[in-house]
Amino acid sequence: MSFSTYPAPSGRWTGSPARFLHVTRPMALPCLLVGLAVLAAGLIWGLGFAPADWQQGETVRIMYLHVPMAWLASAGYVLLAACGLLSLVWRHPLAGIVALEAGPLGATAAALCLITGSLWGKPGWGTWWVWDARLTSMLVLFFLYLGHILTIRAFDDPVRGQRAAALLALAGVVDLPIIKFSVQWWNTLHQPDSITLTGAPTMAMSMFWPLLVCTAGFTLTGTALLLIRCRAALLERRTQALALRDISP
Amino acid sequence: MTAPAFWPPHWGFVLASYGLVIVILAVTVSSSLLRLRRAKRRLALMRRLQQKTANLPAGQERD
Repeated sequence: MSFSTYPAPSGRWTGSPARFLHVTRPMALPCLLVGLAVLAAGLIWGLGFAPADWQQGETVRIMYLHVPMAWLASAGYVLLAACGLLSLVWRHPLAGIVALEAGPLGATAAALCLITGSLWGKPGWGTWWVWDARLTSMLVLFFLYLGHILTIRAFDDPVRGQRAAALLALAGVVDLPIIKFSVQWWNTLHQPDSITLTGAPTMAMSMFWPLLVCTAGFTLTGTALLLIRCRAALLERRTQALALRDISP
Repeated sequence: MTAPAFWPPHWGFVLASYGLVIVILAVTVSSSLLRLRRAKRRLALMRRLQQKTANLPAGQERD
């Protein structure tokens, strides 16, 4: 695989870095701008126009940050595990780069989910933290992200690092159903899910719509950031390849 | 410190959450864009350098 030339994009999606660079070139910035616009609309809606909760009062507005962050952290880990599988089984050239760049973004989302949850918990529950099943499993997800970030960078040989991190990502998938079903399996302080795939949301629609817009905005922005970071990583590797070619006899 | 009467209860927690997320988002977006810009510039510079080296007259040594 050569980074020194852009092959003409033709045929089906092959997943090669050169094709990825070509395909994502017109996508990344518009995706970021649309994502930020949707996010701004959702945050303004949630902060200024959505109603306060009759029990929680104004603190319910933290939901418009906390829930999308939890979604992004979980979805990001699914992506990390998928990249791990692609990397281990098919040795996909892009999977390692996507995993390398997705890790810090997912860890940020998990950390923000925990912090906003803590800021929501103090006025609601009277405590910053409890060793509740949902909170603890989310903390474990954050540590899994940290482990992945460290492992993938810990080896001199990047391929070995990618393989070790891929194994960790695949093993850590077991935490995702625990996060999802913890509020059903155990008697937790954390409230049960308000939104499910099968049933109608148990919250008022005046709260559900801004939540949906915020989630869409964060998802689009996160996707755009991942594309931008992967593009940057590929271009950096390409520059390195050119430099190495230049100094080689 | 007593909160002003017009200040809704727990509003500080809400603003702290929004402020934190917006600051982290701004840092992440700007650092990612800067990194991409820097990567593009370095690649362009490397290409120019290689073109210049390739176009050197015969017999002239490379640095």
